[in-house]
Order: sequence, then C-alpha cells, then structure tokens
Amino acid sequence: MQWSAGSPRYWHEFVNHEVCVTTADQQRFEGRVFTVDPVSASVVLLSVQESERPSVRVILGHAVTDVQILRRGTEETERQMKSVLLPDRAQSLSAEELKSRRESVRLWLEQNRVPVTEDGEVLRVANALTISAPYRPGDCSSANEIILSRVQSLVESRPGAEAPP
Amino acid sequence: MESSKEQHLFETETCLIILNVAFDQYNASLLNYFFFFFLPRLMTFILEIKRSSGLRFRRVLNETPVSVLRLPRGPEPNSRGFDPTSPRFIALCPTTLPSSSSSSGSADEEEQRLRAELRERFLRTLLLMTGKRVRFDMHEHVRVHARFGASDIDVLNLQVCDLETPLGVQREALLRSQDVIACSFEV
Repeated sequence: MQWSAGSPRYWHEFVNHEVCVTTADQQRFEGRVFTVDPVSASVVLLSVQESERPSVRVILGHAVTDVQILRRGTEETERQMKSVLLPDRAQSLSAEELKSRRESVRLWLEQNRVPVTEDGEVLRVANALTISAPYRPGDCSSANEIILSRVQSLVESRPGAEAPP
Repeated sequence: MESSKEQHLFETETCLIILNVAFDQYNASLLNYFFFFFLPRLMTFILEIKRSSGLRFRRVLNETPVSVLRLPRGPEPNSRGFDPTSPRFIALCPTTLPSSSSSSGSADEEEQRLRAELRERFLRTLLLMTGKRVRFDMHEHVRVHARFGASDIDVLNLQVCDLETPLGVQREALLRSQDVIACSFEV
C-alpha cells in the first residue's frame, strides 16, 4: 500500500502535526503524530483534547489508507508532546547545575579509581564509555557491556545524588 | 459480538416459548397464572420491542479465567531472527531502498538518522505501553481489552496478558498484528 511504501523522510513530514488517519475499514482517527515506525509504518497519535487524560493510539501500518494534515504543530506542541511521552528528556537543568553535577560525578569516579576525563559537555571513561548530560545512570553509553554495567552501578551509587523526578 | 447477542436473544425466546406452551397444559391458580401466563407473555412483548427498536444489550464481562489451551509457535530455530523475507530485512536491504540509486553518502546518512529517530520514539511508545490496560480495535468492529506485554522486532505479533473475551479471560495470548487495526491506552 502507498503509506507503507513511504520513506522515512516522507513520514517525518507528518511528525508533530495534527492529522486525520483513515483506515481500511473507513474509520477515522485524529490526533497529533508523535512518530511513524519505519519498520511497520505504524502511526502513533497523541490525543489533543485538554479536558481528559492524554491518550495514545497506535494505528498499525497495514491498516492505514490515508493521512491528512489538519493543523500544523509548533515548537510549543512539540515540547508538550515530549513532556507527556518522553518524560526523561523533558527535564532541563541550567548550565551551572549541569556543571556542578558533572564535577561531582567526575570526582566520585576518580575516588573509585576510574580513569575519567572531561570533554566539553561529556565525561569520557577510558576512551570506552561516554556519560552525557545530565549524568544519570541512564546516560552512560558504551560498546563494552562489562564497563557499562560497572560504571552504571557506580554512578547509581553516587552519594548525594538527587532522586529522579 | 453480534452473533453471541443474537444467540442470547434466540435462547431467551426459546425458553419463553416453552414456558408459554407449558402453561397451556397446566391447571391455573392465581400464582401460576402470574408466573406462567403473564410473565412470559410480558417478557416476549418486551423482547419484541427491544429487537424492533434495535436497542443494544449491555455486554456483561465474562470473568472466568481460561487456562492456556495452546502454546504459541516459537521463533525459527535455524535463522537466529534474521529472516530474509521479513519486512524489516526487505526494508533495510540496500537493493530495495528507493533512495539508493540516486543518493550520495550524506543523503543516506540523513535518511538513516531520521529512521533511527522515528524508530527510537516508537520503541519508547511501546515501553510506555507495557503493563498498561490497552484497548485493541480489530476487524469487524471487535474491541477487546488486555494488558500489553511486548511486541516482536517487526511488530508482527503482540504478546498480551488477561485478554478479555466473551469466552472468558485468557491469561496469556498472542495477537497477530494483521488482525489488529489500532491500540489505544491512557498515559
């Protein structure tokens, strides 16, 4: 079908806009597009009504026949969507808070004999692992599982770490 | 579902017809008169009205748990998940990518970046969905509720718990994604 044969570039055009999706059995679904899965062409819609709790609807790609844009979204709507569906990313700390947190994580790692260097906004551990802002256990990325798990547990056990919101 | 409702109506009406016939052969006293004459006639009358006016019966949830009748088919034993006929492989295989003929390296990278971003958002949506009570809209206006468990990598099967069906509550079930049109849940 045409929708499933689209390219990621085509699908990306619809993200963050309010659309009306028509399915194979003539049903219509309206909502703001959060994403389109490139593997199955499934559309994820977030309901835009303010009155009720936000609800998410996933329409599988094989059933989609047509997608029409009703209203264009803005940066504000993007931010709102992200705060509902990506709660971890929404948190934004100021530069000083980030710096102080970076310092405290770096000191803690050094106390535990882990070779860490500061590289701008990120911390690099032994050239194998990177910790990006805001330096929580979930922000460690590495190709080596063993190093990843060791450093993650270290960062998690850092004394004085604030509880996640 | 429509067929079970029709069946329910039919069964009720059959009982009432039998009751009506039973009365005719029974000696009438006042109490008997009420139960065996008046009530069945009244019920038949009400049912006729309901059927002709097209009122829908409220579906009563059948909460009897149903044990697992049949285990789902497991993954292929010899392919380690890399199935060359799967939609994912066909999508990523370079010879079928529409942009591959005309693209330069940077256009490919851009496409890949977009693809990764879209896929990551979708995976996070699935993560949000796990453990929540989800409503599945399927063909022929069938709607079922279940607790979402997981999906496979190509979004071909959806694993759910406590699937509420007219037969009872299925403890574990596997839904084919071709049967499902949409799933909705509250954040």
